[in-house]
Amino acid sequence: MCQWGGKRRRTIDSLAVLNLLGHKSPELILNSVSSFLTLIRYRLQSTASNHTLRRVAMKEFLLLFRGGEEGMTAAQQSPEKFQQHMMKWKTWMESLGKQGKFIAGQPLSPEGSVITGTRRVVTDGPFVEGKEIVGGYLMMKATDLSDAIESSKNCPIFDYDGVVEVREVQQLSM
Amino acid sequence: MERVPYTSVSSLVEHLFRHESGRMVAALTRLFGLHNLALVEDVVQEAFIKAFQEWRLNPTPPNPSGWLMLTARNKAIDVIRRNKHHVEFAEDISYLLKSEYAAASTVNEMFLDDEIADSQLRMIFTCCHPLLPPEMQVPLTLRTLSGFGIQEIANALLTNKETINKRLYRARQYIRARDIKFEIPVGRDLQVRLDMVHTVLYLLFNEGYNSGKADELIRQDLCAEAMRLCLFLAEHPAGNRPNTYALLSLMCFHASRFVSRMNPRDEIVLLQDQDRSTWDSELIRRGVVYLDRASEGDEVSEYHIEAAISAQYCIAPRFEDTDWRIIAGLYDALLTLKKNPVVKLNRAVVLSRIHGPQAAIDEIFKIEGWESLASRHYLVNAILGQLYLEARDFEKARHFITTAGKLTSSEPEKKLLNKKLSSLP
Repeated sequence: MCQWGGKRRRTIDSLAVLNLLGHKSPELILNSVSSFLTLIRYRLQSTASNHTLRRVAMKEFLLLFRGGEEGMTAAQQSPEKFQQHMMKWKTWMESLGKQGKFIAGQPLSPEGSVITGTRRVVTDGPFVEGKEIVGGYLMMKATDLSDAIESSKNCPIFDYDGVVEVREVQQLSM
Repeated sequence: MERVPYTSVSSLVEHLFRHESGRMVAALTRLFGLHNLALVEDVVQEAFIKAFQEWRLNPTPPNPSGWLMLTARNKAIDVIRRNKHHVEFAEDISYLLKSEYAAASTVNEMFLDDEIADSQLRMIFTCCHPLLPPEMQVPLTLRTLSGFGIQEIANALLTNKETINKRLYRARQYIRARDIKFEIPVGRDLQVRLDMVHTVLYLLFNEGYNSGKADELIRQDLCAEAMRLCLFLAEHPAGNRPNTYALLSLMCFHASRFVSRMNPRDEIVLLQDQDRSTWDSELIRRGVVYLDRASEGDEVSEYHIEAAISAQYCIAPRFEDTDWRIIAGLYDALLTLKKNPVVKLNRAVVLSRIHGPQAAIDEIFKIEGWESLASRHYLVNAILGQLYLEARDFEKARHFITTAGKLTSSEPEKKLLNKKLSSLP
């Protein structure tokens, strides 16, 4: 939708420019240079992308996903159920994407290492209780915390009793 | 383990390539984006190579097409994982493909039948994009939508492999440079873009129907492909316009007479001498059904009229029963839409059936620039020659038929003209 809105608006702009150049009737121009305009329209369509049209000040948030693994493992026993569940993740992320809110997001493998102390001691995971393990993350944009929370409520992790922690990216002033 | 003979696997794979690669290319392009057509072709090729290797060693799967699509789907996921850090995929879904949460689901979705059909339609609109020069539209259509090999395209378009490769390469450059989108146009754009698609499909069909040089099988292939794509368009909500049905109807009527136009000695058989029992009655029936469908709107296009003309030829039980007055009237209508010397020529031939050869000759001489046309095109000369023959002016007949023979490079046309020459007293 955005693409079309953007395209039309720009086309009219270009007509206005032509008018300023001395042409009188937009209809006249449309008739005489219609094929040229078709060309321009295709050009503009490609330059006006979804993202450039929306320039609202957005803050960044990190969503941390915890838990829900047991349910997921159960779902994985049935490929069909698992696919359905993953489709929900896709749909959720797509809706964030269409609102221009999605930045990145990945599930995390439960294994890993922890590096601690000045001596950089490396210990193998798991480091915390199962329910506490971060199972994935998502970086997103939102107008404020409550907006980010609203978006998070549609996360499919709640189907399996998981937890979402929403944290805003902090701006460090020096 | 018993090896399946090389040739049978290879011909199965070849057959499937023709039928499945168009669907595969469409689905993969939807995922990777038009700017990654090379990547798309790699995956398609890999899938077919894998099929070829596996099926030689193991029994062919019960559903080879399904197996191939699944293989392509899995390869697509591999390619996305391998390249996601340095490649942008299709603009609207690239971010989904780059997340493990959403990648597999997104890929699976694009391999569902409905989505593949949607992608194929996007591909049709891409190949027939108004920003692509016409000489690239047809080869690109044959390559990406119809799974033709480079050599096959070259044979069909009467040129060589290098030329086709160059055109395909340049077409890809054009797509990138002009930022052509992989989309189904909407609103006012749709009508304009559909017109363009019709033009290309009509061109493709005529390339097969009228080419004098290409091999008979290739020509049938071209016509069949044009009809398949037109039917595909007609069955999709974005393409099922009266114009599309009119074009499809026209193709059916023409195709119904395909085999009767040549005899086994590769000679042209004129309409009056064609064996009407060899006309394909099923295609004629379909032609009528589609023409009926085409009449649903209040729009009358050149395809409507041309289909109606062709219908008149097809429904006459004998040549003598052809209703020339109706056909002449249709040509008059066609002239108001398409002021084209070839239409005027054909109209003149029809007039000769009603008012005799001299009236037709007079009509031809009234065509603006007929002399310059006659100096370049065999058709004007061939028609004038035939008309003078009928008017029993043998000297002029000989002149025009000889000129026609010099201007055509088609062997069957030459044979026909020579036959006429030798019939002169």
